Amino acid sequence: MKSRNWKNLDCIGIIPIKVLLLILLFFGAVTTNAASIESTSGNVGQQVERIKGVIVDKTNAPLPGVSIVIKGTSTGTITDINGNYSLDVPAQGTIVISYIGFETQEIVVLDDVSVYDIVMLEDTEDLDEVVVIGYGTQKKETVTGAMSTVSSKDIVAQPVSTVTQALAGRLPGLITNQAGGRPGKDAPTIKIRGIGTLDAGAGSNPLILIDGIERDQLALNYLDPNEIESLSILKDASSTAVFGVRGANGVILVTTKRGKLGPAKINFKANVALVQPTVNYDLINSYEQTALANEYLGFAANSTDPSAPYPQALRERYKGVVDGSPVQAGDEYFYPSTNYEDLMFKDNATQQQYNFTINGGTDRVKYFASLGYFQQGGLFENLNPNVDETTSYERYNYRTNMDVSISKTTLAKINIGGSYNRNVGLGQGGSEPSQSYYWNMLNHSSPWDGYMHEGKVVMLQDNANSVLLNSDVRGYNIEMQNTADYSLILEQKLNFITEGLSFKGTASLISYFRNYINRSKDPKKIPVWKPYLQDDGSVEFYQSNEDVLPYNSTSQGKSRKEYYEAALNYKRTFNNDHSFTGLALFNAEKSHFSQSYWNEIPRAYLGMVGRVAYNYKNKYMVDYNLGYNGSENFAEGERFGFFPAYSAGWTFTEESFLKNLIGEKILSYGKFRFSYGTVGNDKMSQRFLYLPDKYNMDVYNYRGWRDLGINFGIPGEVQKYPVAYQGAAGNPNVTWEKAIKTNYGINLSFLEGLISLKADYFTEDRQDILINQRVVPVYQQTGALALNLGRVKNKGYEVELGWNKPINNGRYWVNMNYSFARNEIIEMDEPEQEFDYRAKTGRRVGEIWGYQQEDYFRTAEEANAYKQELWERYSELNPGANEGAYQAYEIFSAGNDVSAGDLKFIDRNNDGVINDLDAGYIDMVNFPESTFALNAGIQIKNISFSVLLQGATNYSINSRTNYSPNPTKGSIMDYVLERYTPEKYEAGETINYPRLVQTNDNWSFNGTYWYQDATYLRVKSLEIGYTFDKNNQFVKSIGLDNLRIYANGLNLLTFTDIKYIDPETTNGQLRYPSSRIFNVGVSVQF
Amino acid sequence: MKNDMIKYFKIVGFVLVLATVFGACEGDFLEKPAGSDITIDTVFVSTSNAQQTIFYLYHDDFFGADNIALNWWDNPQAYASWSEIGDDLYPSHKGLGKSKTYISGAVNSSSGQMYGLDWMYLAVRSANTFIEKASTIPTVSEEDDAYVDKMLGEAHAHLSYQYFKGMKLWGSVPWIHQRLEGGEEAIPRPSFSDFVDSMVVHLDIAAELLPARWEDRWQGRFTSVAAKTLKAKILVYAASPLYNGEIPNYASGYEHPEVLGYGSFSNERWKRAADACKEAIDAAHAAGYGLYQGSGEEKNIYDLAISLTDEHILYQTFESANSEGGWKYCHNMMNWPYGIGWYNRTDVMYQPTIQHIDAYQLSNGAFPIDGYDNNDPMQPIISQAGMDAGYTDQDYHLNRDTRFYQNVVYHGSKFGENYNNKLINFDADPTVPDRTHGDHSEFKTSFMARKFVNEALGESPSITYRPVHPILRLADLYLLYAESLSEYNGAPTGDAIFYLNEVRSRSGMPDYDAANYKGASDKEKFHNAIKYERKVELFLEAQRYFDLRRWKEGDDLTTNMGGIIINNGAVSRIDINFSRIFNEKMYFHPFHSSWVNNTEGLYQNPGW
Repeated sequence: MKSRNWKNLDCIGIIPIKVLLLILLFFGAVTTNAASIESTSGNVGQQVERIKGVIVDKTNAPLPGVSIVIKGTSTGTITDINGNYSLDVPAQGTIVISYIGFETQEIVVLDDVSVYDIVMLEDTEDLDEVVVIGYGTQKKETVTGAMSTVSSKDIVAQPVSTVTQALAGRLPGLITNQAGGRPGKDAPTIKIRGIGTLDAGAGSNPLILIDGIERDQLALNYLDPNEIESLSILKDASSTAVFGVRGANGVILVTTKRGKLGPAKINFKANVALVQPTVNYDLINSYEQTALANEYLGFAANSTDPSAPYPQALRERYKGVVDGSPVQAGDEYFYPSTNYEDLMFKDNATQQQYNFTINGGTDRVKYFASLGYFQQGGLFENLNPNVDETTSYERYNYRTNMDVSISKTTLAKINIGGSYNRNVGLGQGGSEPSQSYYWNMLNHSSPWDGYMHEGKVVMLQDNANSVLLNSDVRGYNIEMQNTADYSLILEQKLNFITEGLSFKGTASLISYFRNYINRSKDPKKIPVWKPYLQDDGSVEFYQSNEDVLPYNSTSQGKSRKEYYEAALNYKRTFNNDHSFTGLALFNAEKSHFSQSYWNEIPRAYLGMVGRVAYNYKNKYMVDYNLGYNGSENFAEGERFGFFPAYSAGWTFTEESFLKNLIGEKILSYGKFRFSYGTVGNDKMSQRFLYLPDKYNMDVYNYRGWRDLGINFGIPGEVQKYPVAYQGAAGNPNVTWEKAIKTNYGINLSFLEGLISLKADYFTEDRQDILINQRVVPVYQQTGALALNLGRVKNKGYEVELGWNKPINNGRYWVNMNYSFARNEIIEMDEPEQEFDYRAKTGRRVGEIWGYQQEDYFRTAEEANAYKQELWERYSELNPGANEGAYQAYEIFSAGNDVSAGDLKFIDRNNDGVINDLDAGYIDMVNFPESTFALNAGIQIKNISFSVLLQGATNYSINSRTNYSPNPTKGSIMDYVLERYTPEKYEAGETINYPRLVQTNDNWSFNGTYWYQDATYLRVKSLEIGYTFDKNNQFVKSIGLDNLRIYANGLNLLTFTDIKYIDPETTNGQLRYPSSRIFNVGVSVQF
Repeated sequence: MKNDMIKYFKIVGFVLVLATVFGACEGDFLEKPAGSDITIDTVFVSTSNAQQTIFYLYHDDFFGADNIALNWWDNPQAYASWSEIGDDLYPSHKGLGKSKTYISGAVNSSSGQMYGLDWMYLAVRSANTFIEKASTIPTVSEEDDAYVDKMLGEAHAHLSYQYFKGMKLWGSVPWIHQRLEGGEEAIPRPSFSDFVDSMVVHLDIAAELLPARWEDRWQGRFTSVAAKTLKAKILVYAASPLYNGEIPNYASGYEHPEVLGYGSFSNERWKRAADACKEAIDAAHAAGYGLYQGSGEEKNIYDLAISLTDEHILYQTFESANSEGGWKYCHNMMNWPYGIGWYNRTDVMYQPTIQHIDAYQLSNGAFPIDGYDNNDPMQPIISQAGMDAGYTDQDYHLNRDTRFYQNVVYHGSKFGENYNNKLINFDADPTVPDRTHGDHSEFKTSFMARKFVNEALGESPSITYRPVHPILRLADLYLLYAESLSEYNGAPTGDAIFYLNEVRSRSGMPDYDAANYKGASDKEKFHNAIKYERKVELFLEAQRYFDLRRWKEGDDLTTNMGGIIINNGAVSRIDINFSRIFNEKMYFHPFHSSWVNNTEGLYQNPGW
């Protein structure tokens, strides 16, 4: 906890790395020399025999760089590029052939044989599989924490645009929610083990590291899935403690592919796909909507009252146009019925993806290089003939990962990777323009407002918010983003100090550049056309305002991040039984932003990591992990903290008594895991929380928008003057929040691996949560102090069950997983609430606020009876109240006119009146608490088939969308027709919703009636493939090693009770629908 | 070996280059870089910095006249328009604003409040901070010294300005006179009497320190005349029936009656008010303020609503360009008949109701409409004077008070005088050619507000103007003075009638004639004359809601709103199915439950 010694950490941090790198290189150079001397000393004097041959893998591919050594000596050779070797061997000698990734073979050289062609077999020892953990790797069998991994194979099995989309259902403990499908902006929200803190937004997002360096989710989205070797999530304290002050929300570790020893393998993949929306929104026509509009304002649907908004005579005109038999010639131009969804949305778009990788290496240099291209077209129709940009996403990726052995003990890794993204949106843009598309359509574009005629926008009513004017008619915007990362890593074995010690130094630079181009017009100044009826009955159009040039602007943003790391690793096994590993690591990170960026002050982190692990015969394991790091957010004395975690594991199947008791055949593997520790979280939107009462000079108003300043002066010479206002007061005592996490886990494997089971149960106690003070006397106005006050408990479990059976010429498998996490707010500095249901404390994070609504009144009698019940309660509490002036539903503008078709609102505070005091939490959350998946597949000979079913439950969404329909303006979705009317009720028609009238706006009050259980199950992905191997004549004839063709799909089917919208739509807010994708691809290797 | 050496040096060289690239050692790694902090310690180091904290008090977050709705996207007080609630308007954006619950009477302690007590105290804190720090601001000249004094005067004036805002809504609220650090003992609500006196004390200090007028470039800031006028207005409010008398019946049994008013009547409070008004009027005259006469009887009121005149004592102004982004008052840009403006939207415009139209006098000073049929609130009772003048609904717009023409856009009027001179055609029949307005369902009354709408704006996107929203203007002060004199003396004095007539004759209306007004006594008749005058003269200036409340005449606000519909030129009255409801407990607004729950000692007002 002492932080004073850390004052000059920067110097401590950077200088030693520089020095160490120098030392390292010195040793590296020396040992290089030593090695070369050694290899020239031969062993002569005996009778020798020259042998030769070619070394291949089981597919008959020659293996270059295979080492052939005479046993007991250091004499040997390696194979050339064609797998050929020749070597002088003493008679009766033994040669040892070894190659990484293959089983080592020993062959006794016979007197009379001089040609030894050898087939190398791949090393398939599963138990030695290593997994990536924080700042290192670990043998899978010695893992004591809680983590899950998905491999590249599973990630690329889905034709998705971003990696995060491919994670749904793949990683138990990872909860994803994908709200929309706009190309390139369709990454889901991801949380590990649910939400453990008070902030359901960015403050509970996991930490993401790509090749050991912290990145944001954007960087992950921009990766080409083909570059990824594996992706792991770290869930418990023992695996995340090393990330200290930033690890509490869990960690995602991404490792990119590296070169493997062997001949160059070149792989090319091409995919083309058809993209469709998962849901179609259906709109009603003008004739239907005018009836609704009449009803909305209190008239009969077919009212002939001239003061009705659409008297029947007028409606007949619309009806004629809808039916295709206009009442009068030219009606279609004056009484249109435009379905904007049909007009502006395509049925499908295309997607394509190409990837080229090359991978190989010798014992000196290993390399992996990748080039990728991805493109997804948008579903918006191109309305403007002068604009050829429409919603789309393009991405170019590149990566080169090189491993260079500078000497036998020195390895340099050079990683260079990057991407270029181009994202086009319609209209003016913004973070999610398609959201405003739906907003404009549903609120401001009635089917009778306008239409397209011969490429021109015709508007019968001027309305700048018409969705037609916010399409590509308005213009477009392009967001271009470049990311690049460069890393140099040096690993030096320090066996000369002590066996098993090594040093690793890393220096990285990550840069990000964004260019935003906006070419759009002011929607008020877009030329629109108006029809007029000529005397002869024909219709002409005139342009109602002049065209203007589009507004053209660009903006840039950039940032760069430096990252340094120096680590000492120790790994040694004594007497074959006692294995020790140790790690001491120092890292520092600084991000710089361009001056134009709103928050241009560099951001810094500093930390140390320690790890000690011991295992005895892979039977008993104990780990101790420690993070010690600091965050700039806190005052000097509060900056650094220790985050220790302890864990232990017991592979009980290694116990001989158990082996004898159950037998290895039945219970093949079993391990208990336990971990306990503390991790921190320093996330808060404000920075430098400790500074004294801050003042903001001028510039931004409370929403962060540029303010106009204050005007003084005489007319004509008015000037604007900037203002200074007090920002939040500082709190020098504030510090990080702490998560105390416990994890209990078990791994079991039965029947020699046929069935496997992994289960974890966890609890998390998040304490001292960083929040803004909430209970503040209203007159104090010091600004909301940052405090460590909140407390949230979170617990849950994950279960994975697998069935994996080899069969003749292949195998089949079924894997299932289920995750559940539920939190509870224990404390959050909440002012005392008069009514329990309005208090957040004791509830879950993200609970939905609304009214308790119980169905709708079928008849006026039912409504009156309820009104009477409310009145009796009210008059009891308010003796002498006047029934004439009593408003039962104060929330309605006609509060006394509660009748058939209105929702029954529950009077939660029992005061006899329905008002906003009856609103409160309704025991539903808006983010899934459980997710589940089933992944099954079969592979026989050359055919493979796999399917992933994925789903979520324990959450609710607003089923009516969050737009309260108003039929007098905007378009109406067809489900609104299922509203209550007395006639429909009499006729026994389907009724799903309360009545729709302006005075009793049932539809605009959130509540239990509208929030529905959003449980869903999807056929998330499905893949079928066929591989032509080298035995195939055709493949052979064109010189390929391997050719695979496949077809796969995404979101093929969804089962859910939610109608009309996608069940993952956040809060029911309509946006660009998620995609259903049908993809075919081919992959060749040569 | 030689090659190895060369290789070795190459590698070392490479590493050295890399090491340089890694960056130099710079200061404390986690410390915030210097020079970027502005804290309380660095703001009050110069008059030019410190003045920015004073300017903040003029921000529309606190200072707004709140007569016209501000746009909703960058103002916390969005749609906090008191005109919307008090003047007879159909607010078509009712679904968006906070006003909705006030109009429908559904407001309660958990609904959004029009003006936040939190915002009020934020301004109070800023003013208190300045008062505390003023003496520490280093000055470099006598002029600088004098400037700090003036700013100190502004701080005191703003303090009372904010508390008066609070008083109008809630009665007395905790009086904070220092910069709080947090952790203080609970601060209770003072008695109403003390509260008023404290505001007066601060305004007296302000009047001492402030100039009567600022040099040109600082026009718009608080002056000593404004401080005196504000004091006069506070004292007129304090002398009014809501506070100056028994507490209202509905509050009987309330534990803290002293925060709601004096509790008993004293006529001397009217004297105190009248004296303060007189003092303010004299100071204003001495400083060159006067009723605006420059545009002629037919245009004076309209013109002073869109430009700065010598009648404006305290006002709020914006630089407002006629293009997207540069405007704050959606009303200015959006309250436009279709086909004229740039951004006309019925969903935000103000539509005067037929009740508002009916209220205007004829040009001879008589009222054409006497009231409404008890059984049919849409059916007017035409007065004798109305019949004499030949009033029919068809000709409602003939021979009315000039202020009718300046306040309202109606069917058949012209809009955009000197610009595009558009003839307004609100006909509802879609076959009628050249209709000015679409068939928008939210266009209900067939009237639109003209006052504060700069007709020049429809002409060109490049026109920039300053809407001037009066907070205190001389006509208001004249009427307050006239009212106080009549109340104190039990009947209108010559001075009272003089000042009333000053305001009327400026708009070409005949002098006060008691015969035109209802009332059992001269005082009552005169009160009704003041009430009429304040309604039409101060239309859309956020006065009527507070006037009716201080007079305890809130019941007037309960209205079943109506409009007209023009069908092929024929005018008929329609019920627009929109009611405004006033409950007695609205005389003292609720404190939001979150303020009460967070603040020890802040007890709720009666009835909430």
